[in-house]
Amino acid sequence: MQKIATVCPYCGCGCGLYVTVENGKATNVEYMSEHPVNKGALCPKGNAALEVINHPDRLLYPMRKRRGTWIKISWDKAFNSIVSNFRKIRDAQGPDTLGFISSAKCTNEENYSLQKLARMLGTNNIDHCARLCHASTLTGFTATLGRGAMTNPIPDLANSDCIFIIGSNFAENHPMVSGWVWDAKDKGAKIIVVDPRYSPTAWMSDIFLEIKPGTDIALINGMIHYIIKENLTNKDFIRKRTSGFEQIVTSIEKYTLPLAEDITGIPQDKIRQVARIYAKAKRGAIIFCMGITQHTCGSDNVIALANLALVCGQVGRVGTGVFPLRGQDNVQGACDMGALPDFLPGYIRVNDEAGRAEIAQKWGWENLPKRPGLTVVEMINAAAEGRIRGMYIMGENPLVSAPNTQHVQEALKNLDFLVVQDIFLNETTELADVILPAACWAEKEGTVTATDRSVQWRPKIVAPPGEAKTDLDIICEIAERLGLGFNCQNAEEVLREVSDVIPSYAGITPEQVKGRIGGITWPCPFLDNPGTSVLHTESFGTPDSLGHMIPVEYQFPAEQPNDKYPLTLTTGRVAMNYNTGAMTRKATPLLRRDPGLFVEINPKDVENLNIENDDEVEISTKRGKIKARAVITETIIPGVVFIPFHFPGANVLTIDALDPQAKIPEFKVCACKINKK
Amino acid sequence: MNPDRCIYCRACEVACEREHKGHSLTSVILIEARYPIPIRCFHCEKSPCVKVCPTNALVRVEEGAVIIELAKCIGCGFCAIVCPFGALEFDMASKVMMKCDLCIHRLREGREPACVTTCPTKALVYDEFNFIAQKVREKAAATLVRSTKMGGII
Repeated sequence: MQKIATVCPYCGCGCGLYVTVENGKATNVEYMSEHPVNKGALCPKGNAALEVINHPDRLLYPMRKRRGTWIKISWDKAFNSIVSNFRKIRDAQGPDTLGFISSAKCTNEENYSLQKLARMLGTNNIDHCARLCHASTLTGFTATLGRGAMTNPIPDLANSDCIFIIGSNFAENHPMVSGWVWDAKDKGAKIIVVDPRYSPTAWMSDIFLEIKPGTDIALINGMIHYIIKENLTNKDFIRKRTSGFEQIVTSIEKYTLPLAEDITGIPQDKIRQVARIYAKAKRGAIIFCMGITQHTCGSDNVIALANLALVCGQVGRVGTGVFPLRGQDNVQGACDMGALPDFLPGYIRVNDEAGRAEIAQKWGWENLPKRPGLTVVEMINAAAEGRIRGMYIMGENPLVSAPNTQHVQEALKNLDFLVVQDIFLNETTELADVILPAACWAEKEGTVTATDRSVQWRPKIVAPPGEAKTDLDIICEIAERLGLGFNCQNAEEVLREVSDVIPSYAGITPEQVKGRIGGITWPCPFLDNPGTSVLHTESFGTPDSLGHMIPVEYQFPAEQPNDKYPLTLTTGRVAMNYNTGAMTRKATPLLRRDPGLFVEINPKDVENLNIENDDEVEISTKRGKIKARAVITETIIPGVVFIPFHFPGANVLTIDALDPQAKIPEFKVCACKINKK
Repeated sequence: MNPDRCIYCRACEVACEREHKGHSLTSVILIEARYPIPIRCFHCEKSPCVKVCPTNALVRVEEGAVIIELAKCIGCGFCAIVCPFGALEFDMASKVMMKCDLCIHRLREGREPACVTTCPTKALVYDEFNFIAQKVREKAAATLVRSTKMGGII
């Protein structure tokens, strides 16, 4: 029996765990008490991490569809079909008729290789699910702080004396954060939670603000208004470290507390109270998640939070910073690797001539495309309109994850050629021309970057089932057959190239990171550098090294409740399931505890509808209708209903309106109605 | 246990299920959509289940855990009748009672019960009763000092 140290495959916390292996099979999970983030603890998903490995439904060989049924084909045939179809589409209609969706569930090396393949083929149409969760964190923080990432490590929360939590239900989605927040609370920290639901995260709060969905900017601007008026700003910090304060002072003038109360539904007294606590805290932290980002004003929401932190000088010290909690084990890494349509690896903009030329030279390639590519939702729209003809989807399930499912289905059906590479059949593989069986997290090696920027090595523990191959091997073989000739023998070699190309990863080599519990936190600019746990301590990542405050205005969500659809629908996650459920719906211990779609609704909203707990109800929006089990509860504010997005359904309803900068869809607000079925 | 800190993530249930061949012997009960209470065998010092067991299948072992010797259990269910916590379940397949064994296999290897180690908020702790009580007193004292010294913060 062997015990192998690895990293949990679920959320972005990056928890460590051991897997016991007997006779080539992963048999059990053991806790890793020496890991800095989870100290041995694991959430339910971490405990069930092995369920997907030996699952009988795993894809075992490449398949293609013939007369409506899937037939087994050889790898050679599968590769040939992909290469000839992609060549045909590119040669006939140009490289921008191809689209690639990469995966935050894959390693850095795999993401790096897929974006390299897309770009060498001549297109920047490469994106991944960060678009659907934290794209607005990247745009909002790049503009203000200069780096679109969490500023401090998760355990550092224990050192904060005020934690302001807005639009995050980490008790269910990043349970490991809860322990550190509790540690802070034990030491006397004030915990403030802002949410339309009295969620398990809100249970920890000293002060809970019940907010109407989509009104965050009014609240944050109201707080800044009060902080400036009451002279609670950090003047020294503003003078030395920031720019744009004067514009904030003017723009904030109209956000008086009565106005903020009117828009958000939060009593002014409470706004005054939390503004005061946060501004006066010695070490203030802000935690946020998709309740902030998944809006048409997502980027502006993030900018508003950055403004708040800068006005109070609450960035760049121990226990003091902004904590966007990222949802996937490697979503930070997939962004760092440039699996984004507007950024090359290391956040070099694709239209930055010098930066692009340098990367092209390192790749030994002459022309890399300079026009920014399409984002996930834009690719889907382009497929519907026939502007994208061929797509390659690696480890993502847009038929459940993207908004407006009906539209996604029509769009993917409209493609000439669709390849889907995954570990199970799912809703998206149904529409594929070719399905490729991939190795899962424990069947391959490489690095993953957690939400707090720590880069950890995940070793290969067992062999993939059947003929399944690692995503890296598949990408490299396709690249080889397309004649792109990029040298990638294994994950180690790709990581060496990554550390050569991306300055923040310069010191993160296989030798440094392998076997290192907790990994190395980027930026790690040279070999033997210990990494950087707290960002912005002396200067910000912006070109002038200052923190930029940018005025932002409250905007209405794209769709408002109306006579026909009187309720506001918001979506989110629960503890037992994970994203599109592609993994957790295969894990019996989890699925049994959260078996299907439900809708939370306030008793006031069902008064005249004759709906009782556990009734099957129909929820409809302009885009479609679904059935779900009713959960009548006062934990959600009147006028708002909540549906988890782990099952096919929630996104039949959601709107595909996008944030103009980040192109993230507004999953968190749309108008709906409920009927008894 | 410290139910205040419980976030109803139910990691303890899944961990227990993993350690006990697919059968969880602990559960978190959510009261009024707000108060999660982890319930399982509390290994009572004066265990009514041990007293009533007619075949002496229920015994207290050296580590302090009350465990069932399955070969002796006749599935009469008397233990379940007297248990104030509903901690014993009847297993239809093997016709015997089942209960939390405090992960005795782990304790004997010097590891804590799985539900305790896995708990993300330390809502479950495993230690000497009076040691835990001392910790609670220390925390209460610290809170008292803070609330009198820093009463003005809000």
